Amino acid sequence: MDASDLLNPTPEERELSRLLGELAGLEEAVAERELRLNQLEVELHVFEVQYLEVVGKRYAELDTLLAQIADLEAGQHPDSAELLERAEEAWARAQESADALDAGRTHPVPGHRPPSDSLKKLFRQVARLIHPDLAEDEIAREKREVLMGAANRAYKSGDEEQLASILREWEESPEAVVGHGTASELLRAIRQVARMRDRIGTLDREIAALKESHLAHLRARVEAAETSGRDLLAEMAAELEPQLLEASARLDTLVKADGSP
Amino acid sequence: MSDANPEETSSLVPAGESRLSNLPGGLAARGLALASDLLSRPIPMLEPGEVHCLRGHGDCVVSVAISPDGRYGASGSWDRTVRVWELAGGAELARFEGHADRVASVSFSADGRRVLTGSWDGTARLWDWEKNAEVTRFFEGEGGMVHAVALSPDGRVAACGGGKPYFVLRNVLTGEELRTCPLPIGPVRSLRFSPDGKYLLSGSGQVVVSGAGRDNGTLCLWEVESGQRLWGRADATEPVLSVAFSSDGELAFSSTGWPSRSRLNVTSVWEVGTGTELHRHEAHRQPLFSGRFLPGSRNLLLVGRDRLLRLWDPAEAREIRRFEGHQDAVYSVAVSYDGRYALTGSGDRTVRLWRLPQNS
Repeated sequence: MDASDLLNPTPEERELSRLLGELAGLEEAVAERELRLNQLEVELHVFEVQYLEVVGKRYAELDTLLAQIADLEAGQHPDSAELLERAEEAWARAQESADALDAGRTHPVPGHRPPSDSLKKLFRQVARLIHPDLAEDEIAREKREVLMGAANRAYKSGDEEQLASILREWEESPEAVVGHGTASELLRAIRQVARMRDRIGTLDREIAALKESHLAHLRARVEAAETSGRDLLAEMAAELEPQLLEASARLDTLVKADGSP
Repeated sequence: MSDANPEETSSLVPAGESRLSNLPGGLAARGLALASDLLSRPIPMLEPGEVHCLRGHGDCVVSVAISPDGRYGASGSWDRTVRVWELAGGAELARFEGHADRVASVSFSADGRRVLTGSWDGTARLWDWEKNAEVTRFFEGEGGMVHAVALSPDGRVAACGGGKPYFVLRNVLTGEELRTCPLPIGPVRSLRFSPDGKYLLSGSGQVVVSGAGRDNGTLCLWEVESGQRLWGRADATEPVLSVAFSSDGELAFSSTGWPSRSRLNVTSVWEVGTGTELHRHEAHRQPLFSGRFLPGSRNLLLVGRDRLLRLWDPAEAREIRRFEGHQDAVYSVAVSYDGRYALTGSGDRTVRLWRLPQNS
């Protein structure tokens, strides 16, 4: 290859360099979205824990009371298929609410501090390099997925060291080495660009879905109320309290009428 | 394999739909519905009216005060005790039983932790109610009853007056006498510092059984620093029972009358700067014993023998609202700094907390 070759790249080489440039931009866009999605999840989870503790807990208690009531009512009318069905539905709901409460409590609460800039930067770097959509085949893809999952966990728990070690592990692996030959590189680049575009679409949909979620809307309302000096969560809890008392009284009456302790 | 990536999302969120988007059991959806419902309701406005009826005193409650932060109330009674109440819950927090005769007047310190009390036993005492300890005692041995006490807004000066035709300004901490301010006629019925602590209003007067038309009530404005009288009116035919400043310090209120008879009962609003009478109202059929300006307003809260707490517009001579509940004459009224609550003391031996209408 002489100097003129370098100065006059073939159309394939030109196309490859254009694609690689586009790919770099797309990689950046994906990493940016991964970061936003993660951030949104962390924020929502912090809110979720708070919400479940103040309001969700009361819903779960209420659902259990209502299920017990439905149970006793069904017991009083053993022939009523409708009452039995209602009791079963009530129990299913009570179980779901209890599960939601458990799930919220068992998931580790991420640190309340916002992620540091260095953590964000590191995560973006990892996401750009090892994103599964950059894989050549299914085997390579699986390997990248495992690493990406670990990177996600490390980011969410704010573990910078772990992220750095994932990055090191990747850089030392053969996966990091890119094959040669303009034709194969071109093919790879075309496939990667397509995958990255798909990925951006998926991430955008996920972010939009999360932003449109009930929990996100609830959080937005609670925060807006807070700026006008209202504690909406406390107001909600106060609203549920009389319902709890009423259900509890109703259950007492039924238990007494039932004659069993 | 779809583009959803199981391993990638499994750290926090199960595959597919995010766990956070809609909590199981509809917990997020139900919460959102409830929150929207709460937000769509008009902002909770509590109805004006009686909040608490505080019982415990064994005789007439003739003086009440609210701490500057609005958390505590103090009441002085003919049962010789002073009590401090937690206003939000209505609990009696402390009781001072040191006076040997009827308590006539109470005033909170700036930090709300001390109460200055004046009694017919001839003493004014500063009482730390949290420690239930008497801190200082004034007027001891000078004879005569103490009818009126006031603590300056900065808590440094105490004003005490009683049976004699003068009142005394003292250093609260040392008890040192700063000024003695003579009045044409005693006894001293009411003392109030201006919101900035620079001025003081005094009301005094004597009951004359016969010979109507004799001048026997005085209203004076004093400069605290110099002890100088800036202006005075000595033409009231009845004792001046109550004086007050508006929260901007520009207006003064006075009411004259006498508890036992329905004679000429006058409420007046004065311009502090000039001593000019701006509004005068003579039509209150029953004597008014105490009045306060609503903070940030030119309207008044008035109480008297008719057992009512009245919200009064002096410019229009119009009753805006009345609060009923007391079973006997109401002798004293205090208002919280934010104008949301009033405290009253009555001959029915109760202290009552009232929620006031807002924007009046």
